[in-house]
Amino acid sequence: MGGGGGLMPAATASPVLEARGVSKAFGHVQALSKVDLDLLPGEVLGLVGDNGAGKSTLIKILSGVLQPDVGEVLIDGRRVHMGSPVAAQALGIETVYQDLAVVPMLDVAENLFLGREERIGGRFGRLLPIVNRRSMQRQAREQLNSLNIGLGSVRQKVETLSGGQRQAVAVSRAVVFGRHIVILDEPTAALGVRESKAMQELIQAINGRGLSVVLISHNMPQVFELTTRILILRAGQRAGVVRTAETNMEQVVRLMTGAEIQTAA
Amino acid sequence: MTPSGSASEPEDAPLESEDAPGREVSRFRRVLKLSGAGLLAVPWIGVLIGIVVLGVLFNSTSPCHCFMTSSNLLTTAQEFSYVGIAALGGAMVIMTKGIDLSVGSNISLSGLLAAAVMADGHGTALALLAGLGVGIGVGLVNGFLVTVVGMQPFIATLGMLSVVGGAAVAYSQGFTLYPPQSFDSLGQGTILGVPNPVVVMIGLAIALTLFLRYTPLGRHIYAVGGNEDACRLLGIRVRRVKMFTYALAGLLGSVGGILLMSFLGSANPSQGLGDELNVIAAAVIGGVSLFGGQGTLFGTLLGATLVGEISDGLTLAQVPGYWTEMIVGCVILTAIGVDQLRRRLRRG
Repeated sequence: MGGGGGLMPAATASPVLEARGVSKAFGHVQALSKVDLDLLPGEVLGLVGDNGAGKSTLIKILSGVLQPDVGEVLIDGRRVHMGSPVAAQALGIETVYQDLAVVPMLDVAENLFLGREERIGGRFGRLLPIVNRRSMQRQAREQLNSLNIGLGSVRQKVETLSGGQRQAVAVSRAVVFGRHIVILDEPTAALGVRESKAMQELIQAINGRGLSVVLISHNMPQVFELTTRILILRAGQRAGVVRTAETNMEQVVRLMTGAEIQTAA
Repeated sequence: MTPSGSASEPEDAPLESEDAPGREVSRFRRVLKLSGAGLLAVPWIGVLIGIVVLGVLFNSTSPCHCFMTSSNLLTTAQEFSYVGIAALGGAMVIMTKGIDLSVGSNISLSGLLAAAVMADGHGTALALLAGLGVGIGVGLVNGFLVTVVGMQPFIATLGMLSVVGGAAVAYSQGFTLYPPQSFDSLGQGTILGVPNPVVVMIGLAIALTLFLRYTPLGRHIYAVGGNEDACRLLGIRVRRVKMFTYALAGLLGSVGGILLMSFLGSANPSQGLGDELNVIAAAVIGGVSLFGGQGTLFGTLLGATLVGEISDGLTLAQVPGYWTEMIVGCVILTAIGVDQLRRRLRRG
C-alpha cells in the first residue's frame, strides 16, 4: 500500500478489503489490468470511471461473481478465494446490483431474506422445512425502522413499491446481512431527485453503522457528498485514487478521461 | 351505475409512500380495481364469473337443460380432473418461466406402461411404479435439457413431446391395452360421492399450495420466475429449483395419465394427445403468467374447470366435437392476450 498522501490518518488502519494486481480478460478484451484497490474500515470509497473502464468487472470480482485471471483479493489482510457470490457473502461482503436486486412478486420481508429464509424450529420444523414468516417479518420491520425506511407493511409485494423503495429494500438486505462490507452498484441511477436524496441518507446511515462501503456511481455531486476517497478507473487500469476532501470534480474528470495522469500510485 | 366516476375518487389514502411515482401507481391500481378492468388484476375472479356464466349459458342451450345438475357437474369434474392434476405441475413449471409441452405424451405413455405391466400379470404396485417412474423420468430429461444443456424450455419439451409420444406408439404398436377390470375402481370409484380423481386433484392442489406458500423451495419457485439473476446472486440454486419443477410436472402428468387410463379402462397411445395445450390453458387462464413468478394453483384449478366446462358444455349443446378444439384454442389465445395486457398494466 503506502499511497501518495502521507497525511491520511485513516491510512494507518489496515484495509478491510483489498485487491492486488487484479487482471481480467474476456477473450481479446482486457477488461482490467493490474488494478489495486483498498477499502479502509468505515470509509465510503467511490469507484468511478467512464463506461467500459472496468468498474463492473472489478466489483464482480470483489463480490465473487467473477474470478480474476491474475491478482488476489484480501479481506482483513487475509487472502481469500471467492468462487461464488455466496462465498463472498459468507465472508461478509454484500453487493447491491443495479436493477437486479429484488423479486417483484415476493413481499418485502421475503425479499430481505431471499435465499436465507428462516425456518421454524421444533419437531415439526425438523421434519419439514417451513419458512418462519412471522419471525422474518418482525426482523424486517425492525431493520427497516432502524434504517428509517418507511415502506408501510413488510407484507406488501415489492411490485407495489416505487423504484426508490425497491432499491431501499435491496440496500437494507445488504445491510442486514453484510457484517463488513457493502458494495453498491449505481444505487441511484434509476431514481428521481427526491428518492436519490433518501438513498443518500440511507448510505450515510449504513456507513454510520461502521460498515465500509464501495459506491459505484456516475453521479459526481453524489460521489463527492458521500465518499471519503475516490478510486478512478480508466480503460481497465487504475487511473488514480484521491481523497475527496482534497480534490474537485474537474480533477476527477481529468483522471477519468486521461487528461491528467496520476503518478504516485 | 357509473363505475368510472366512482373509480376516480380513491376512498382511503394510498400507501404511506410519499414518492410521487409510487402514489401514481397505487392510484392507477385503485382505479383499475374499482373499474371493470380490475378483473385483470385479480385473475381468478374473472375466471369464476366466466365459469358461472358459461354454466348458465350451457344449461339453457343444451337440449336436456341438464348441464347444471350435480351429476353432470361431477362427471365434468371427473373428465377434466386428469388435466387439472397435470396442470398443477405445468403451472409450477410456468411459474419458473419454463414450459412443459411434453405432458400430453407423458399422459399417454404413463397410462400405457402401467396398463401393460398389469396386462403382463404383474401387480398393481409395480404398474403404478412403472407409470409414475416414466413420468418422473420424462420430467428429469426435460429438466436436464433445460438446465444443464441450456435449451429453450419450449424447444426441449416440444422435442420430448415427439420422443415420448413416439415411444408410446412404438411400445403399443398402435394397439389399445386393457388393464384388469379391478383396476377401473381407482379412476371410477368415489369418496363421499366425489369421484376419486377429483379428490386426488383437490388433495394435491391443497398440499402443493401449502408447499408453494410455506417452504423455502416453494418460495424459490416464485422467486426464480420473478428474477432469476437476483436468485443466482443470492445463492439460490436456480437449476435445482427448475429441475424440481420439471420432475414434479412429469410425476403429476403420469398421475393424471394413470387415473385417466383407469377411468377409461383402457390405454392407447393417443390418449393424452393435445392435452399439453389444455394444461397450459388451465394455468394461463387461471392467472399463471407465462412471464414467470406469478399465479396460484387455485387459479389453475379454476382454469382447468373452465376448459373442462367448455368442452363438456359444447358436447351437451350438441356442438360437433370438431369445433371444441378450435373454441378452446380461442380461449387460450384470449387468456394469453390478457396475460400480456396484465403485464403491461403492471409495468405502467
